[in-house]
Amino acid sequence: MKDKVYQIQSPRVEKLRESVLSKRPGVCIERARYITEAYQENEAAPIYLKRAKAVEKILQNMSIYIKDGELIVGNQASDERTAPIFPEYAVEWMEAEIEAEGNFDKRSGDNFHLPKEHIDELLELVQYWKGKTLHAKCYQLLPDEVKKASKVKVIHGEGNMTSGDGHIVPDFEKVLDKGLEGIIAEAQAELEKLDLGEVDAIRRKAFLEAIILTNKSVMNFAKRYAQLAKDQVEEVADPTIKEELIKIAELCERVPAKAPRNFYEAVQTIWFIHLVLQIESNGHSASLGRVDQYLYPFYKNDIEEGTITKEFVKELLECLWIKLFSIIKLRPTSHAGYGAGYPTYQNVTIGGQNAQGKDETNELSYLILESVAEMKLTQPNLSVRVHTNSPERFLREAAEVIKAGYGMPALHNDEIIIPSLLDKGVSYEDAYGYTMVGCVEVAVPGKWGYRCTGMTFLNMLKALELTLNDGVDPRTGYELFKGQGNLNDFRSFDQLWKAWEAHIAYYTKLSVIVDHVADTQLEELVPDILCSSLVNDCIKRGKTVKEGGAIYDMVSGLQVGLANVANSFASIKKYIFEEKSLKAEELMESLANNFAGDRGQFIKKMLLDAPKYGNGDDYVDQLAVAAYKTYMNQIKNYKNTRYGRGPIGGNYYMSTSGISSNVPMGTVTGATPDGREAEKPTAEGASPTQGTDVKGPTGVLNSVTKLPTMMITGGQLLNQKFPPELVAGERQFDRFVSFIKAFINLKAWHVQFNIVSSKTLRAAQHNPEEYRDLIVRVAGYCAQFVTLDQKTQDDIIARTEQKF
Amino acid sequence: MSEGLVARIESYGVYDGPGIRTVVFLKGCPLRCQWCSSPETQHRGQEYYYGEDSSKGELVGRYMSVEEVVEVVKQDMTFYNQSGGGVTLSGGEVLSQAKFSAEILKRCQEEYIHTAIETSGYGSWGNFKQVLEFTDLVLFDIKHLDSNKHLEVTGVENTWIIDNLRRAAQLNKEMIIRIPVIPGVNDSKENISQTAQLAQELGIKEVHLLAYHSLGREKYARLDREYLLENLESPSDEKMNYLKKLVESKGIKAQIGG
Ligand code: SF4
Repeated sequence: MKDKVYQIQSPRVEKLRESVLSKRPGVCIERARYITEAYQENEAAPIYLKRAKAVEKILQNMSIYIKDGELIVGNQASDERTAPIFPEYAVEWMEAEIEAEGNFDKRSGDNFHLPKEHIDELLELVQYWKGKTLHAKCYQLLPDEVKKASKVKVIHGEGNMTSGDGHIVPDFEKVLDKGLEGIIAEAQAELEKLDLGEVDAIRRKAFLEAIILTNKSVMNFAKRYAQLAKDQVEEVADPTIKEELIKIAELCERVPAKAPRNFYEAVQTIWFIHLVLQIESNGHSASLGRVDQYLYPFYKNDIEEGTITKEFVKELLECLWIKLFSIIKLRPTSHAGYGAGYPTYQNVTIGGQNAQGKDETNELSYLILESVAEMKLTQPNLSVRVHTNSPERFLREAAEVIKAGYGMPALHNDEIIIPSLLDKGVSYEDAYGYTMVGCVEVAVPGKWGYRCTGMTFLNMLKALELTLNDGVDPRTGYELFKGQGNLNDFRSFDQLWKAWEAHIAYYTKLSVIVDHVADTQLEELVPDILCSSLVNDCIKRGKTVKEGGAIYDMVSGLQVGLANVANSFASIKKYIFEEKSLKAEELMESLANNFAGDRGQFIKKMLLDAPKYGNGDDYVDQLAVAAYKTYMNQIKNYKNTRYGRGPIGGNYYMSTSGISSNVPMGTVTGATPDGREAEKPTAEGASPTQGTDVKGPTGVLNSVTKLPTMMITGGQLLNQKFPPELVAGERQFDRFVSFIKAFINLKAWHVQFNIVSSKTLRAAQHNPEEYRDLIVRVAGYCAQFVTLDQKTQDDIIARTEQKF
Repeated sequence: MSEGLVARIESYGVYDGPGIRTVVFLKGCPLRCQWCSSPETQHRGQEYYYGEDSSKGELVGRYMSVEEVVEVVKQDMTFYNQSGGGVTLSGGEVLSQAKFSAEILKRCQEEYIHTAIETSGYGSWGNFKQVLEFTDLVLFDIKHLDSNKHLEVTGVENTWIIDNLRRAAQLNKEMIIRIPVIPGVNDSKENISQTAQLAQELGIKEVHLLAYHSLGREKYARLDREYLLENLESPSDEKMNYLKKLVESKGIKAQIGG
């Protein structure tokens, strides 16, 4: 079998991709400038209109451009990969960072460059916003104990107070069906029905007027591109480019105001909507939903009429992916580590089935898959919905792209997600129509509120550390929740467990308080008008999403470090309470000094040898289940701020989708009884701790599927490493495809594969601790890579380079 | 039910039979193949396996009951179902723990798990027959057709082995001959084509050629044993393809790798 090679076929796309990749990430002042002016001019206006006027002003005045060769137009800021500033959410950190570092480009991780000439202007704008921002107001409301817990970092909610919500998929289908004029007509009709004498009517009037104004602003924004295209036609000589510009002018005259008539217009429509949503708010994970479904009618029609070719469809899609990649967000450093690598999590979902259980994969699904593979960009975040009747071809082509080795697409399992949604009261039709949002969260497009996957992170491993230390944080010395005793005091594992439950109850509550603080302020200060106009039933209810406008509104907290917690409990249970081979005092001491000395190292080794989650071993897996249920039993009692205000739900569930938060959450946590050293990252999502799933891929799935996944509707994250020899060649590839089918049948939620490269193997040579889970398999031979001697390791690296 | 000595159990086994398999490596083998990549399974008893620092050895070999083994095998049922996989008993030598092996295989068959054994064929026919009764697929290793040469490189003659191969072939079991291709030892045109010839005679339809690799080498040091093939290189791809064609010329299906 020949390996499929994914290569860009269009020179235009190649050029545009090169341009966006070579751009040094920047910061653009324009949005900050215009929103400040708009707020100053409209101080007395109701908040909805103030927001609408701000968006209007930004869209009227920001720089726009059409690059040579672009087929899809529309930019977020003055250049690609340039982050606009959203001062209404938080400014204090900007001032502090500029004062300390002079710019945003001194960061060790993702850095951004603000042109020198704009620094003074930014500092001046900041003065207007100080004390008025979301962050400032949230901070006023935060109880002291929450502030303390945030410093200890047993909870982390910074992201929700320095940015908007994001994590939403608007009703693209509706826009494709009737254009923004249709949305305006809907709002107009509601406005006409209003009896101003009725309670709440005045507020609703302002909201509906804001919707009309914002939608008009988007239409006018598109018209600016039409004009620009016309102007540029005059300036270029190349007849092909001239023709393309004329086409762009024609497109932007029509959409998104009116319903698109063909595939090209439809793609331009969704881009305009998606783009302005990201100018309106700086929340990340704004997602595109089931693109292969809602674009398919246009595709089919154009193909049948012979007005489009598959090649051009792919080119358009690739232009769209470049646009998605061009979007970046500037976030405070305090939150930056929670998602490293300029992530924006703009999800595109393909595949899946309809409510009749019929598979809905179509030709466009394949083109999307192929085009994303060719681009090799980090956006969009491509998700594939799979189920027991997914076509063999689809599974194989998805596996083929995974094999190409850059982590995409992620697989999501209808077989558990749909029942899980039904269980939460989602209607049959809607549950089958679900989409992924961001990375692993699920929602019904156009009907679900923000952030189905939570706002506030709960650092479960820190919670365990606090439980072992009677609520005193060893790192900061802060006392959080005292009175349960420490490990030395517990006479039995049961007593320890009781303390754990008490601690979790306490931190869960704190995390909900953080959510409520952020939610009430987001609602009051920064309503998203465009977004609300595109989520059902906001217009009918006269409410923004945050006020309870969405049909469904359920959210989850984010829990980090589950595997480490389970493994820690297993060590304690085994060595301290069962075998009594280790004394509590001794363990606590070696944790406190990070396994220093020979005895410390011995204890560390002992702890590493204890049963580990991810190998199908019930001893520890059941502890993971129990530890997780402790949290579940708490969180299910809480409501979100939309409860009783319209949406179905209004409650909480769980999620293990904590992106790269495992790094900062680990940094603040001392050594733990799973043998993890201080400051090392925790495990990711529901994945086993790095290097402890030594039984291979089946053991991982066997462990993960023991968790109460059905209840974890906020999404479950599982990353799996696969050595290249297990996907290369026909026979191994077949097995890999069967592995995916087993994943579907086992009803695991999500899986993403990293195909190990020779580069990774080299990293493992240098950093063996972190790569204990790399298993190499060669005929008749199977071993943990890091336990081999160097010569053998080199052999294997050489084999990987040659053959796979 | 009996107990047996198990060296290790490997999940997601992909080289010893069709689909995704769980491979149970039994401990104890009467042969001493110079190229053996799992020397830790040869000795019939528990032993220590030392790491680089040689401080704490890892104990190889665990006594397990049939049910314990079957429980582990059953964990991956979904993977077998989706891939057409199952369980493979390997070694060491399956025939050295024939009763234990037969019982595991029987229990697996009762659960409708596809069963395979990987064997050197070195054992009494009585033991072999007992195991074969519950085996769906036999992966039969043939190292050399020349008995003297066989003795030289594995420590035993091949008469028993060839005899067992002939008898087993008459049972109409699905059988695949596997030849570890060891340069300079058994990779001659003559030896390979004679083996293919024998397969043809016995009605065995498939031969797998497994290229020698030196990855097991480091294990010898950890067992404090000498590795005799220190400087041996793996056979080239051309060589392997040539041998494959050779086997195919006898009308036998051939495959490189397991
Ligand atoms: S028969 Fe197999 S296990 Fe036994 S020595 Fe030979 S290669 Fe090793």
